[in-house]
Amino acid sequence: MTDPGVARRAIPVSDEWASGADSYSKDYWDLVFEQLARRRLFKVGLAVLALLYATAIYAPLIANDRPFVLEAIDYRSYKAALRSLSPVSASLAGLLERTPQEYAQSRRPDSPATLRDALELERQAAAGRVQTLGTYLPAESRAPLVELMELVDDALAARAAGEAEDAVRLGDEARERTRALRTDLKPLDPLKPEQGGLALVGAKSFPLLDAISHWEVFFMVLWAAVLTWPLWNRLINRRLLGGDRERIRRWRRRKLVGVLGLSALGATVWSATVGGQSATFDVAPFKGALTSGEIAPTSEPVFALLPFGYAETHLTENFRPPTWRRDARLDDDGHYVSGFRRPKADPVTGYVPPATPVEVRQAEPGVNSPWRHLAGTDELGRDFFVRMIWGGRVSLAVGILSAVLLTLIGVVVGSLAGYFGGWVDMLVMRVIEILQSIPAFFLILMTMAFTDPNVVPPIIAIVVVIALIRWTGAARLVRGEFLRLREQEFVISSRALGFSSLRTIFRHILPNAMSPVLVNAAFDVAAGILIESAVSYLGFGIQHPGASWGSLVNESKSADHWWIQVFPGVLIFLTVTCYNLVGDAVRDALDPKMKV
Amino acid sequence: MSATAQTGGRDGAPLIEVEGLVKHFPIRKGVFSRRAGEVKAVDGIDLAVGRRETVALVGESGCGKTTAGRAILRLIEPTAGSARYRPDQGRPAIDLLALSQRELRPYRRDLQIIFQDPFASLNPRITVGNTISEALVVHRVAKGADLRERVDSLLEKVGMRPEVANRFPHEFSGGQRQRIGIARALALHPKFIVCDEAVSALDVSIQAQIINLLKDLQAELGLSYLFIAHDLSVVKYLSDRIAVMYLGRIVETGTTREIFAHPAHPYTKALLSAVPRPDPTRKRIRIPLEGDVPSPIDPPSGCHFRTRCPVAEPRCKESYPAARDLGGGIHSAACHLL
Amino acid sequence: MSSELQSAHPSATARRANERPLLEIRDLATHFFSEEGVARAVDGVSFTLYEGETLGLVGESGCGKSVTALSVMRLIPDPPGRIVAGRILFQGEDLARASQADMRRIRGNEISMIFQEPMTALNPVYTVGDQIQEAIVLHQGLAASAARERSLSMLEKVGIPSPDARIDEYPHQMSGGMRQRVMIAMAMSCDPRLLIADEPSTALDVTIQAQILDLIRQLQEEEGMSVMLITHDLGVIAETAHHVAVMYAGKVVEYAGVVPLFGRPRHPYTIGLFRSLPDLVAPGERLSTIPGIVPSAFHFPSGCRFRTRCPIATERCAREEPPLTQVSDGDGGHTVACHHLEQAARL
Repeated sequence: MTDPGVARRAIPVSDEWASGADSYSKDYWDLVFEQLARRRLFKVGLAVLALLYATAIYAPLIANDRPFVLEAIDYRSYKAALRSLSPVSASLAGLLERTPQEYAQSRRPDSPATLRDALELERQAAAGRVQTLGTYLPAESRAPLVELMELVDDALAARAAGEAEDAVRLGDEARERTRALRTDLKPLDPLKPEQGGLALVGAKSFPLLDAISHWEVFFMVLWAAVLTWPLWNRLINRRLLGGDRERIRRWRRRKLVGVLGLSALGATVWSATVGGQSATFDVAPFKGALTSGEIAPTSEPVFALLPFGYAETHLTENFRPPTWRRDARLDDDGHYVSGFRRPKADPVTGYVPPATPVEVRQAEPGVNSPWRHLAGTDELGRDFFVRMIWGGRVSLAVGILSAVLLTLIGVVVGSLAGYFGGWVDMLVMRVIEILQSIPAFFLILMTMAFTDPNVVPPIIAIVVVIALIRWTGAARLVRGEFLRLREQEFVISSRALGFSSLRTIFRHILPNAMSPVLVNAAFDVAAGILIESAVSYLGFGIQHPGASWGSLVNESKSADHWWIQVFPGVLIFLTVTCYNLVGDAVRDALDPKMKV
Repeated sequence: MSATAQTGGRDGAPLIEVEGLVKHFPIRKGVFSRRAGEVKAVDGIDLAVGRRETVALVGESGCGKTTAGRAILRLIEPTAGSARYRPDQGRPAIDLLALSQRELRPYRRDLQIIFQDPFASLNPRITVGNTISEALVVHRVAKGADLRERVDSLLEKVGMRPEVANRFPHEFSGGQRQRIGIARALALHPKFIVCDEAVSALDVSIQAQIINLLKDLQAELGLSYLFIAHDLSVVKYLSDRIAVMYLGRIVETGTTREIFAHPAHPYTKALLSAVPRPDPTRKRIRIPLEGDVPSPIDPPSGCHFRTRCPVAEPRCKESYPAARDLGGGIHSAACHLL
Repeated sequence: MSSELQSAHPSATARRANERPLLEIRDLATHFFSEEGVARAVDGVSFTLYEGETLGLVGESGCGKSVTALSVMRLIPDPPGRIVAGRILFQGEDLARASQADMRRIRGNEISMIFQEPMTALNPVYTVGDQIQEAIVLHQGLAASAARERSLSMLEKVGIPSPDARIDEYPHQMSGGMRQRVMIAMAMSCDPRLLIADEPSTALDVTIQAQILDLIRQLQEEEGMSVMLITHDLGVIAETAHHVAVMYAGKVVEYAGVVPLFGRPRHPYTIGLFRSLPDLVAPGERLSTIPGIVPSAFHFPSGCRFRTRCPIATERCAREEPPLTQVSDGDGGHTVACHHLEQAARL
């Protein structure tokens, strides 16, 4: 195959490669990972960040005033359903007496358009109440409900078929039946058994999970995969790929897609089965109802680790220091025993202002338990630690989202300016200069001040505003890299070989230009967190009852309430420091061998 | 300087004929980038490269030889001039500098370039095999197994083992990278290759390997080279004809033997005398040149070389000397004193 | 303006008798310690440099010649590098063990160095005059005006036209050749006994290169100074050096006077090097090449380091490192490190 000319020319290249005898050729990411793995501070920083993000992502599971598992009889909703069944059936009967035309003439503007729709609406209302009632009734007592629904359905069918008389008759019968049920199905009050009634059974529900949307599940699955990455990655590499580094390299993308796909799958399954909605910031009723007896548990309810909601107030416990401190102790009357909150008797009259005793709700630690309020409470007695956990979601999300968005904008703009030069470059540079000559923070503050929180959610507003003002940094970096790389021989060679500009930009220049941008991205996240904190601290960012670390610091300006200022500040400091460590490590790790 | 009579190429009409090539770079000053002057990098050169011929373009830094090479390939847009390319003997020549970029694209396959810096000429993120095969993929010449075969044969042709195709450039030495660059240039079967100081950055022993390789490839594939260099000993070994450049103009052209045996232009003489020879017993006759190379923004009036020329005369200031044929159409120089 | 210089190459033999060694390097080893391992950049180098002569240290990139020069000046960055063994005897003093204070007294004063890149070797924010004066004031303790006088005379000596105007210029206002002259002026300002020139002309154009090399030779003859000239260009060596040490992979493989070396090289590497010069090959003849590449300093071959590329290597070459043996003693001695000198002679 080889002709003698080639054989003569072929230099017997020595078997020792310039970089050693390894037969696997390391690519860019191999070299980067290798460098990063050597840096202990990088690993520490990354671990702390992973933990912080885990806390933020799993916040609903960690700190929640809804129980995980509740097996109880909900007397309140049972009674409400029973009570409201009558009006529904009355209204149903009333509708059945009318003809469609009569209905159409006499209906109110906000009622359904046709008689049929109105009937359907009432039917659903009845069905909902019947279902609630059926949940708590023992199986043998459910028959009357089933019969009732059959009646209703028959009535509707008759109406639809045009048999007016039957419809009216059936409707009346349903109404009568409902009235009877009110007495028949009256529940047995466990505190007053002499009044009689039907003994109800407990039903199992998962209130906490109902308050988790599929988006949150997506991130929870994703983060579970990320946190366990060392384990399953090693498993895959050893078992499936047999340690073959070439195959491992090819599988990189598959692993990434796999993790994202798994998360998406989890989210889809979730929305199909549980279909939860994101928790609103209304206080969930469960703890109060359990304490008052309106919900009677038939087995011990399971609460999250920190059984406090981030909007749940304890007004008697406002501005309470962390409960592990001596100056947080309360006596039975609700007075502070020692410290700066200790009530001082009036020197003349000896009058001590009264205080309300603290109400300890279901599943909460005792009044003076050190675990009750680990970070104290705020003005409304909301647990501060829980608010910090939930507030972290906002701060961390804003940091990362703003960095991603600004990097995207900056890379696109910078590439175009750097590659095409000429008037494009001039225009872009002037825009950048104008933007950079305005003090960024005040611009952001002003923009946020003019944003209506009702129209645009503050989180989105602040992410977009930060990105639209800070993209200039990334753009300049990319532009600089493009200007340098444009003249490199391998780029000129692409032109000589007839490649299109698009190919040259995306395949040749851009991958080599990204290094400083990636380094900068880490610092941009840190900056984003700081900016959001500052903006929220000044009151222009996240509004009550939502929280972010910055807004939490704003909750009290008194020096007595040190925990309000210190704890969120420490978290901000920790996060920003870790990002800086990561950024530094990445900057050091970008291997000069792979750089042109 | 008319070069049509200069071609020493063996097969008749020249492959590439450059006439009056000019490249001026504007100097922009101020906020709105006003044109404040021009760098006259290439100021009117004529050149011809025949088939299977190596023409060397020699000169010191700043003389414009790299700019000229890239301008011929339209990697820099020339300000003026023509470069007539005649792929086949029978067919008419096409002026490369008059085509649009899109019309030029199919011709780019025939005209390639290899660079000086082996460490910047390969994309560090792409494997060697992909670097070589990319042109084939983009021009849809081959794919799949056929593509791999071609890459393997190209690697063998430049003296490397086919197994290196999966490796990244950072594992290779300068000489090996240069070979990879040559393989990349050969992928599309070019007819003409500009070697832009292709061996200048290499060690002596590696230089020899690459020079041998270039010679072999020329014999095997019928290539023509425009060899841009400043090392005259390499040029002497490799090229058929030499053109000496100074401040954007060609001051002397001729066959290699002629130029080395009977240099005519004072600059050529000084250049030749300045080259250190590896022979300690030889008597050195050095022609010193005073001063520095003038700036190409404002070259001296008349003959550009007069400010450093040891034999300059008053008439050298008045007009730029025309090229004078010194015999047989194979040697000409631009000097008033001839 | 027009002149033709004729100069025959100074024959070293005539000056041999009066010369005493100025710099003696014995078994110098400088290693670099990094995460990837130990790079044994200089690994047992010995040669002698005599007063008033130019020693050419020649070799390709990665052979350790620059590291040798930096070791003499004790400018090796520590970490990651260190002189691990050997002696550098300069006028009786062992520089390898000298204190930093002693070295500071010697650098710029008794031993000076000029570098390859004149662009980066001069500080862009100081004038040329300031930079030359700095060394003078430091080492010779002259007052500012006297130092300036001396600087002017140095500029004149290195052939810079109109020195009074140039002395207050900044480096960026000068051309490459001019800057290299300034560097030489700086190096010469304190009358050093030894000038180390690390690739002084590589970055310059051929005509400027010739000027600089002529200047160095001229200064050497006038001042009686010694020069250690480091380069990879054999032509430069032939024209300027009296003695030559050829380095490969951290060791000296051949040492001889320049005429015997070029006339009759003995080591297979030197022979291969000469054969690959286009100058020394008849046109039409193929350039002979040395196959393979220079080994990495982290993984030198065992035994003779050149054996992986040597046409006459045998099993013995893998086991034993060849010592420097003397093959003739004329002209300072011709020593070669090779096991198979007879076969090498037949190459």
